[in-house]
Amino acid sequence: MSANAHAHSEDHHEDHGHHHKETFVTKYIFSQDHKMIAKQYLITGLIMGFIGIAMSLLFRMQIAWPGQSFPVFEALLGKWAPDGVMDADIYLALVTIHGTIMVFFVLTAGLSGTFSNLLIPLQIGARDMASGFLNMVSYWLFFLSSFIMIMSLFVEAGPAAAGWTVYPPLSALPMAQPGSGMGMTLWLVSMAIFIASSLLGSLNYIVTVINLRTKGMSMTRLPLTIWAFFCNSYYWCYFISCIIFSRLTTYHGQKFWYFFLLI
Amino acid sequence: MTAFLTIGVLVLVAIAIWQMTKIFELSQIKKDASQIANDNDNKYNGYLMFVFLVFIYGITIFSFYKYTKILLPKAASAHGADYDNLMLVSFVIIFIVQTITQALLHYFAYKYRGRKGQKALYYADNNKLEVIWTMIPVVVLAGLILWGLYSWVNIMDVNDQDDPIVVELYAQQFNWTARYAGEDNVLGEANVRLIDIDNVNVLGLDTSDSYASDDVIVKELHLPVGRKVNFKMRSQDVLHSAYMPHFRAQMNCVPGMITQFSYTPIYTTEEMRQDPDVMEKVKRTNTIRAERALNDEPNSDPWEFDYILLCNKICGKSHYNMQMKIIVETQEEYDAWMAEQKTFAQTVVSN
Repeated sequence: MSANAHAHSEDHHEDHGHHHKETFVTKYIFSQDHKMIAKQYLITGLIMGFIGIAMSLLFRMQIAWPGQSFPVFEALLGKWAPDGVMDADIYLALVTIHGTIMVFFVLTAGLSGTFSNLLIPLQIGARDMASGFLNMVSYWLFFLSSFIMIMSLFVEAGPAAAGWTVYPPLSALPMAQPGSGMGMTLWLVSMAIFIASSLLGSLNYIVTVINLRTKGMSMTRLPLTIWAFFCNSYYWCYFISCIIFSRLTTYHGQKFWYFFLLI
Repeated sequence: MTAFLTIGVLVLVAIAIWQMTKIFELSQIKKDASQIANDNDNKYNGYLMFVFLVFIYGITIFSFYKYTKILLPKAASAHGADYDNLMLVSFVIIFIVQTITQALLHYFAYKYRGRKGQKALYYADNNKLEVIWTMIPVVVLAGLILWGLYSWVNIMDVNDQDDPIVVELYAQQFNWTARYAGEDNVLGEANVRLIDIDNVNVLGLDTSDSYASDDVIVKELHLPVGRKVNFKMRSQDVLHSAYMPHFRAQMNCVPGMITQFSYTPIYTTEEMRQDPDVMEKVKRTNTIRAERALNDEPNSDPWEFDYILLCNKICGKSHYNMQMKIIVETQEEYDAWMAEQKTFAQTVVSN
């Protein structure tokens, strides 16, 4: 949006939003600048990464010394580690949430989101992404989905525990596993918001690469990194339909006790 | 609450360390505050690159030396050797490429590290080179994939040739049950809707089906050596997976459908127990168990090797413990064991 403003109003310098004094909120929190958004993705991705690594340390301690008592289990897992011995259900939950955080929140958002946002405009010679506003929305949806995922850890019956691939029926039947109740519902909600965030981001990258290359930057002159981000964004847009379908049918199956996929 | 406090304290300690580091850095009088890498920085990082190369080679060799012995022993099924060969060749190719590329990457990063006055060569592109280094991996990978596809088609061809015995593996949270097809070698019809616990019809067999009456239901799988087995897998509740590692066999058990896998066991349990590799493993495990027994710890009884069926898809709390023993024996031993088992008609309580 800001790029269009530049192209069509060169004789209206005073009216550029670009030259208005930015407040703390518009510069650091609800920023539409691709570099700031990349930093936001990076920090959130890193924090989620630390949480994921902490989880992996816990379940690896259990698998290295099965059934042994550790004070750190009792301190961090509370009721899920009575006398410091890890409960089998929370082991599976740790594995699930660790996988989910690493694949979605760290790799897709923390790596792809960070580097695509930072590098695409710089390497193709554009001023910013095609839509700074949608870019900002995509980051804040990602933040919201991270928040909901963390909140799902504190549910009474435990977080989702069916593996990060959440195969039904285990993931959809609360009687099969306690984590498949509210924990799974929150997981699905978090994923749905994450998918919205990634879709906005991917569309932004595709449009930016196609429309906002500087003069002389043909597609074949693009750096390999840009080709990688571009193709990745396309694949994500194609596969998102499968992912959202699977999330919706699992949620549907959870709530209405039948599955489209099981006959 | 303790968890929150612990995490809160850890976060505050991390912030305190960060702030103290910043204060320390600010208090230093730096000669070069340009934040651009100088020759010293490049030399330091160049050396680290090379050290890292030595480290990754060292740790690879160490891992091979120390941990190769925990891999599975020789394949105990007819198709297993081909499967293991495919795996071995894939890994050899991967490791050759890995060794060469890692060496080139890290050594050149070290050798051509930034130095004042050194100018990098501008080398735009070389189509011929790019074609060569694309085509070689394409050919090698295509070869591996085609070989893999051929192996897959052969292994997954479940048919009635060679007079196989038919066994159903029934998975539920959290145990396995095996059902033999009996004298007629045909499994009786079954459905989870016919489960009748009170009448000891745990697997949901159709009592009106004549093929079901001679089915034999057991909790320990016995197989005759050298005879093909066609497994039919069923699940009662959630996804499970029948994983028989020594036979290089795995097939998912999906509720609502019947999946299948077939193999021919070629070594009896006794023969496998005499294999030197297996004897070494048993000796190592029992040494650990003997130490545990001295400390009165659980799981410290001496272990004897047995083939095993494991669950290989997360199915809930006791997924890790969902196992069934497999015994491969001679045809005579198998016949003698089968003669002692009761059929479904003998065990089911009729209405």
